[in-house]
Amino acid sequence: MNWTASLRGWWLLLLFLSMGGLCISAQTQDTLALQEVIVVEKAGFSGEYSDVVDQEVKDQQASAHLGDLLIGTTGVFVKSYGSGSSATTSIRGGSAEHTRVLWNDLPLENPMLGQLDFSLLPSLFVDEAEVHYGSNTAAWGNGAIGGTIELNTTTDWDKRNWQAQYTATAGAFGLQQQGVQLGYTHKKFQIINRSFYRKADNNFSYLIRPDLPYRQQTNSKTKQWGSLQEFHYRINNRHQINAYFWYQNNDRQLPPNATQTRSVAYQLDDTKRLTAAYQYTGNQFLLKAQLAGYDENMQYVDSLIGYDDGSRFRTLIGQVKGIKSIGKYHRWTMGLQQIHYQANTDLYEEAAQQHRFAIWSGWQTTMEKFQFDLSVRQEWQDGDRLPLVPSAGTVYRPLSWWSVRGRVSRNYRSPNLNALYYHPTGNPDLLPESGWSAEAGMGFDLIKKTNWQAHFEGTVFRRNIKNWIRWILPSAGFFYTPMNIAEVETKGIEQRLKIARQTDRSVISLEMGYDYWKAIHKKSIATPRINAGSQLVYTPKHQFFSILKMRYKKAIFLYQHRLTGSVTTLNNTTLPRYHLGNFSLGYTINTGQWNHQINLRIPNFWNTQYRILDRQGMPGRHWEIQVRSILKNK
Amino acid sequence: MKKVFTLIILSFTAYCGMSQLADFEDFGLATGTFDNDSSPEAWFETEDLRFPNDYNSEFDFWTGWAISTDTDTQTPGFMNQYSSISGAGGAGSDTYAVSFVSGKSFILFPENSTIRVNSLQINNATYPYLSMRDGDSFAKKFGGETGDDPDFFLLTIKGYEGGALVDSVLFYLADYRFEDNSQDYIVDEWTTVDLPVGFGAQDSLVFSLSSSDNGMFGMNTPAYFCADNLQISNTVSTIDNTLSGISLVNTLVDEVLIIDSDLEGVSEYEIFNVHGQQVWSGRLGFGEEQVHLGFLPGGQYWMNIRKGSLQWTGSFLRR
Repeated sequence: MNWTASLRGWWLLLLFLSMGGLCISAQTQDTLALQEVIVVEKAGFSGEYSDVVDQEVKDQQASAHLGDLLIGTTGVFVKSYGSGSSATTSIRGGSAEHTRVLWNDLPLENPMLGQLDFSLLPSLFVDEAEVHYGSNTAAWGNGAIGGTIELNTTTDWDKRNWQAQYTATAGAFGLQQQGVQLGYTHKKFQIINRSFYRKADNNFSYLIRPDLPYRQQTNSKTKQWGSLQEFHYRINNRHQINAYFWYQNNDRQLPPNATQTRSVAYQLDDTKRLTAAYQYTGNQFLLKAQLAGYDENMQYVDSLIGYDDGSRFRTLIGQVKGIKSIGKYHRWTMGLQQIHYQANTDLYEEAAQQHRFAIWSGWQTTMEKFQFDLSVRQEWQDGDRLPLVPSAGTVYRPLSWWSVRGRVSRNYRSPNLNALYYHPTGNPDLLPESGWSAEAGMGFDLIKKTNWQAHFEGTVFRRNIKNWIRWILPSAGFFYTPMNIAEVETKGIEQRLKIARQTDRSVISLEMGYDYWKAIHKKSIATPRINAGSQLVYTPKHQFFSILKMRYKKAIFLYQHRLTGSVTTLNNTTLPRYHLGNFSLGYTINTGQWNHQINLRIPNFWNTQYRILDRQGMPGRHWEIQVRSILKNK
Repeated sequence: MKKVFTLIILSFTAYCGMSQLADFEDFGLATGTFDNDSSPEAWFETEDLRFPNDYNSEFDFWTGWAISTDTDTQTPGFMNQYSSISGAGGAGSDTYAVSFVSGKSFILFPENSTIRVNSLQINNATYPYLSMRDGDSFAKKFGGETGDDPDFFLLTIKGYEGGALVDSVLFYLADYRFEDNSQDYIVDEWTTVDLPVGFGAQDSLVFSLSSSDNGMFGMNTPAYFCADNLQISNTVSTIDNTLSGISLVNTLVDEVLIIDSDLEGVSEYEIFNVHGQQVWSGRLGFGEEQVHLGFLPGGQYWMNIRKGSLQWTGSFLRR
């Protein structure tokens, strides 16, 4: 794959489309506005369920990373190594590599690991976060097996002139964070900059045993800073160009675990992401062309053992998506995507490259009581054809307050670069993990009045994945090597209840969710020792979360509670279940042109001593104070 | 009485002999170095004892034994594989052997050997010692978070003769199982381990490591230990029932074991693994015979050949 030629090809396409848009603009400036069917780009997929991260919760945690936000507001299980440390996700019993992460429709995963560290995603850079549960590779792309997390940094053309927002957070364990969002909109231009700086000592203490002194975390400082520069140009109501440049630097010490005397290890991450998009919105047609380039570096250093290793990967993405409305009820989507990965690391014998090309198409029919969609995706990887994957879903509303939905799909995940090229035991012959998934659910509007709403959703699902990749020790070998050896079956139930009551001056809402995941190995493996029928490690069977929100005039009270069931670990131990409560109180003060929101947040309000990962202590009750000032936009 | 006295003298003679010391000094390594590649041989050999070594040059990876004069007692982690925690060999000597135990490690004796190891000195390597003392990313600090976990790191030494287990010795390289935590210890000096008389004339010693710190991927504690100053003596058996005229053409076996036999007619053979279990049997004729053993897992095996009341035993390594 010629990297330069590919880059040039996509830039020319983008330029062509933009120029074409400008030409069309010149021709149609004086054209009367037509009555048009609004083409909605972001319609969901029939039959799937999603959780949206609550905006007010997000506003109160401006210093948080996305992992922290997901813990408190969704059914995603986030494996965190503690405050300031890495955070990866598990949805419906899948591994972190089974979570597809899209930012403005572009994949973000690290191709070497096949997953994303959510502690490196600042909430300031993301306006919307939605978790789509379940498998849907055809629609969301390679690796969308557990679920898809859709992140968006949006454009708001309703804002005029200057927009400004400043956030400052101080908290326990040396937490200091400042964030600035500054933007200007003038007619057709909008330019926004979001920048942040965050540092923390993370020197929390945790309990080993009631009769023993607390142990304080050491070598745990973190320092992050970053900037997201946006540029938006709306040529006219139909043509728009967007560009983003994301730069971020993370310096993170790696603390010892609870059975380690000390650690001097640290990790440095440097990320640059540049994206550009052209969008055309026609009467019954939408076209979006995107180009993205990522350059990411990671350095891991542990002078205690004389280890210093760096890796660098670059990603080039080009994709085009078109949505055509056909008549009153139908919509046809088609897309092309090309991704090129290049990774350099001492862990590989030589630099690794991988090229993927995918084409997908979808059909959606939406009627008053019935919605149906069908998607199909075909992808090639380094010239090899991957499984053709279809997906079909439907929603039926026999009554206005009752809906029934279902989805069935075939899905796959390609091996990451480490599994393919790690020296000496990477396995370039690995096949993609693949399998089928089915889910069905019902939704009920229990109460639907102007000031009272209650809604319930229940889902059951089943998924079977074969050729699941595991690093195993062959019977006559000395090295662990990845192989398509495992098979995992996952069944589960998910329930959501949302209740809200609103008056002139107050809003009370309660959201609750309960998830049951039974994710078991179908086959036994000798090393690592896995017994058939056993639950996957670090995969809780039971999870419950709730968000109670009360807003009265300018005050807001928020309480989040989470129950996470017990999990087995890699060390053959069991971590007990735990309850975690987060308390937050906020008040808004208006001064002239500014709104100032002051929030006091107390994470782990009940001071629970708990573990997410074996041998990793977690902080007890602590505090954060946040001031968020927003310029009123007229 | 005379017959009894003669028998006693013969028996005494049977278990007396010249004593030797395998101290590895004959390898002549410079201080602070190591040798982890015995090629072209499949073992390091000293005082008729063979210490198997398997080195992969493509991956720079070794198992079995290495010879070392490394002195680093401070650096934790796998980059410091070759040092003993004493920073020297037994009795203050320079050179010692380090074993990375992948499953099992062996000390082999020559065919028809009459020597036995009476004792050897054992010590921890720096890597597992510091891992047990301080913990690391993979293995726990012994005693655990509270200091009360009943952890242990155990070396088991088994003696085999003719494919059959003779006896075994347990030596704790670390023991935290005491009620009184002040008694917990990690071996940090060379310790003499006597092998019981019952070991007899061995044809191999088999070493294995076990730990209380285990996970899905097996033992978390680094699988290394050090050995030095093996006290060796000769034994003479008063009963000679050994077949002669048999030899193994190759003692390192990939797929096929080749036996050269001068025995007329048919003899029977059995093959045993390190657990003393018979894994294969068959018949051999005169001349060069091939036995296909590609189905066997890697490891040490013994072949016992019988013809009438006579027998012969040899060992080989399946790679």
